[in-house]
Amino acid sequence: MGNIAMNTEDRQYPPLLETKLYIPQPRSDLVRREHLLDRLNKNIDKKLTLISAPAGFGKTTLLSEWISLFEIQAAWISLDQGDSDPIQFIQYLIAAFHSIHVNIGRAASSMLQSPQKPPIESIMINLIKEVSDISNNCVMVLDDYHAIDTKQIHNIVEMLLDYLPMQIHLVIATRVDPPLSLARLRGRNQLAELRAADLSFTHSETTVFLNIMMNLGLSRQEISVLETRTEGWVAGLQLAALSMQSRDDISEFIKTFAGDDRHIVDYLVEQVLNQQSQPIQDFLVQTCILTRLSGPLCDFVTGQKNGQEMLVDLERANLFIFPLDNKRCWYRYHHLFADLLHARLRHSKRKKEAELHMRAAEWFARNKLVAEAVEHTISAGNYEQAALLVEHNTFGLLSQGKLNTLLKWVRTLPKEVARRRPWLCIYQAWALCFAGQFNDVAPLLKDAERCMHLTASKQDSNLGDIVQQEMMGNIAAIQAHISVLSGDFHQAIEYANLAIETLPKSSLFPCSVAHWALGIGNYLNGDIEIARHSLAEVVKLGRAMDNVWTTVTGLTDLASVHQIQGQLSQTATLCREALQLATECGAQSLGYMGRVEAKLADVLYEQNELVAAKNYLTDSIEKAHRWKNPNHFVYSYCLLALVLRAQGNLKGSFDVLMEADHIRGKFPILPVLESMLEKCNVRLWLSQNNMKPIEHWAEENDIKDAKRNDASFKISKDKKQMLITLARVFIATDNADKALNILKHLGGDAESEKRIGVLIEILILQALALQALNKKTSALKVLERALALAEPGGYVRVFVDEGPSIAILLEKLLNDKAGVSRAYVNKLLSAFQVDKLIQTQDGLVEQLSDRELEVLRLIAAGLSNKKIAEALFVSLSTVKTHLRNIYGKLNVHSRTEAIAKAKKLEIL
Amino acid sequence: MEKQNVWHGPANYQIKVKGRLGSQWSDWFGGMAVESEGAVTTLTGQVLDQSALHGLLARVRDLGLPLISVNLVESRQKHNKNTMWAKFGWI
Repeated sequence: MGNIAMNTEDRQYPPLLETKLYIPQPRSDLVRREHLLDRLNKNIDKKLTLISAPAGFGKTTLLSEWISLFEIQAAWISLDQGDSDPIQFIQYLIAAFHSIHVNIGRAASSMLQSPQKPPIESIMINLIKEVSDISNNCVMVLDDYHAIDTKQIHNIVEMLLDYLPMQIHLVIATRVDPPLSLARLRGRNQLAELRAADLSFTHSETTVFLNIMMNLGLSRQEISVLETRTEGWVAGLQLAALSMQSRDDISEFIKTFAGDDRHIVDYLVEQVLNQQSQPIQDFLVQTCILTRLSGPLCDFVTGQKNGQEMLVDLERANLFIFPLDNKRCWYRYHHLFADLLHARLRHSKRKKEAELHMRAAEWFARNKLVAEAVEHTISAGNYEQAALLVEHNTFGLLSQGKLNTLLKWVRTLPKEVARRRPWLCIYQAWALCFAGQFNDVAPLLKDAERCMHLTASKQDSNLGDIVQQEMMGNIAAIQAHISVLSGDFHQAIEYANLAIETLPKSSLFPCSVAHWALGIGNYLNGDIEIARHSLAEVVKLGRAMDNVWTTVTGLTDLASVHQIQGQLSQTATLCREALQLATECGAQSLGYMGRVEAKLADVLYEQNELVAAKNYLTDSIEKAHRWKNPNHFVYSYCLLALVLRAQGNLKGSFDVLMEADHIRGKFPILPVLESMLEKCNVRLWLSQNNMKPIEHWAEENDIKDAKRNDASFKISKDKKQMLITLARVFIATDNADKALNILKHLGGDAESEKRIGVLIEILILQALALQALNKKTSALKVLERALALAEPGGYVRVFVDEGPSIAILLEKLLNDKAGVSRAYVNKLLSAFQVDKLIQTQDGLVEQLSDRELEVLRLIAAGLSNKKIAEALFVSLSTVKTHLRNIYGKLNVHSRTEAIAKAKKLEIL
Repeated sequence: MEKQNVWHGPANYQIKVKGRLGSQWSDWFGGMAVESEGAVTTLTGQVLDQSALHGLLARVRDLGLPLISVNLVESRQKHNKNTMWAKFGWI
């Protein structure tokens, strides 16, 4: 069971995210670097342009000018140190592509909403497929790529490089050569590079900058000195220019500068700073700890009221500050500048630094930007406070399914601090539990239990007990969940009951998990009534929490219970409800929904609604391909094989089943699905009267008589379905008594466990076996019982699929017994008729094409050939050709016949 | 001589960079001693572990200081050993 955010508000990007996607605007005082812009333009047809140079070489500036000047369609992502989560990185990519083309990213986005993240490759493949729809050339910029040190993110970028269509050009700006396959790209001439040497100012650029842009009126000699001293380093030159701007003694400055061998930035920043007024200096030093600045934030940190004014002034004075949006809301300092200021602050006023961090933290906390608040609190060295912050805010994350964020926050805390706080251990355990990392959960729970007593004892006794109860309940719920997923159903039930007992009623989320575990545990290995009750409770709790994922999971699993109990209409209703809910949240293309669709198709097939079943299966199979879940594949394919067979397409049926077999050969699948696959194979062989493989299979799977007669011989549930198939085979091979033997035991179990669906199948086979042994009366009696059980759910195929022998029995019942439901039996018999038609030569020889179907529909609507031609924009002769083909496929000779047959075969 | 666990544990490093920085930079570099001779600055001191070392190098990088060398320094007898001797009055 999982938990995801499916509320619409969550899909709006918070303001800080926008700043990461903002394309920086070029500044007016720039030197136009023609030769570099030229190179960028020339290489736009290559896969990657790499701009790799240390800080202060004007990488960002160059790119922003290029994009603006040549009106390049671009998406931009500014990365920083916190960007270590591959899922979040993909979200940035989606958001960035979305800014270019509005339709991009919906499917990929929904894939990210599931707590069980699909493999990153499938998300990326889907995203790249969507991106291929962008028709015009565009550029994706990843700025400050050196901030990334997660292998998974590098892998994602490699995928982009491998599979992005030609019209998308990637640009990476970084201070460090990224660990990507640069050599390979270079070899294929797919890489363009701009390095420090390229980005250094040339002599003429230096001259233009100093004398024209900055209007300093320097001599050739002076320019030369500066050039040497800064070695063409752009940031150095900018700082030097800034220092000289408001001076009278420029020559003096240059002489001193040249003579001083202090590191340029260190020297110059000091110069620049000393020239500013005291208020500005104070402002700079105080706000340098902020990675992003806004007026209100600065005010809070400095205690002044002129934040916004200051920022605007700084920008105007070109004091290394850049806007991060076009509303002049958020800014950032140039990294070098900020680092230098920060170093000064740390050296001179260490305590003050911590204070400033705490103030920033408070502002962020008040504005619900918890991640930043936690970061600053930790920078202030205030770990306990940070832990408290995280604790107060993580529960919301949990019930919204934001597991990655939750884990990220907790992991920013020092390990020892997190370990001592039981709630943090519990939240982490939840997150890891849903992420499937079970091994890491146990130690966390141990830590939680250990320090639980410490926390509880600190508060007053009443509160202590309640809190302890809640913690214990959470731990039990987690254990229950894990037990279910590791197959230990007894344990799952125990833990679930414990959790339900201990948890307070208000703990909706852990309660829902406990009830789910109780439901599944019982469904698979216990009392089906309890299962139904528990899963209904899950749905209730899911709705109370407004958590769509919990509700959807509850509905689906509840549907399974109803299916077992033979209540097919309820099953279908619940499946439809689940699909509806998911669609309302845009999550309809999640892999899990494919399971729901398959289940619905299962029911529809049983009720003989073949076309509807096929439609759902098509959607389901498409998801199976996308999400690559072998169990899902096999389930859907088996059902499709059955549908095709029922529609008379035996060859198609075999093809599909072969694919399913192929998958079973390559991947491990659930035993219950293995049995289903076997059942389908046997059915198909029986349809063809192909006895050899059937006999072979029977030999392989037959249990020795002695064992079978032993009452204490426990058959696992999965084996039971196989035995039913075996019984079917025995009947077909004239071993009806052997069949009866098996069915007796199985029937008894099915009765006591109240598994009606299975019981119906067993009873029908019993009837057939008895008929084969000439025990007509008993056969009819058993069949009557089967009918009574099957009618409420509208079962059809369980009868029809067994073949014409059942039809004979049914007809007999109709004639002999008065109390039998005539309507139902007649319905079954007419289904047999259609089946017979299909299975014989009178059936559909070949499927109608879409076009032919269209023509057929128009015929049924009463249109003449001429009108049909008009409606479909084709010639009259084309329509006549279609008609000929339709007649051939349906084996008819007139329009009326065609319509009648099509209706019978449920094509119309 | 005490063996340093270079992988997981603290170790002493000496990092030389091109450019002159004053000793007031010590705090920024995690308490390392900052000494300069001419146009070369040497950072010396204990680094918590490899991750911390790379973090330090990133700081150096981000200030635009070209790296000259990074050396692992074998430590001499640690202080705590001396105190132990002192404790038992052997010194």
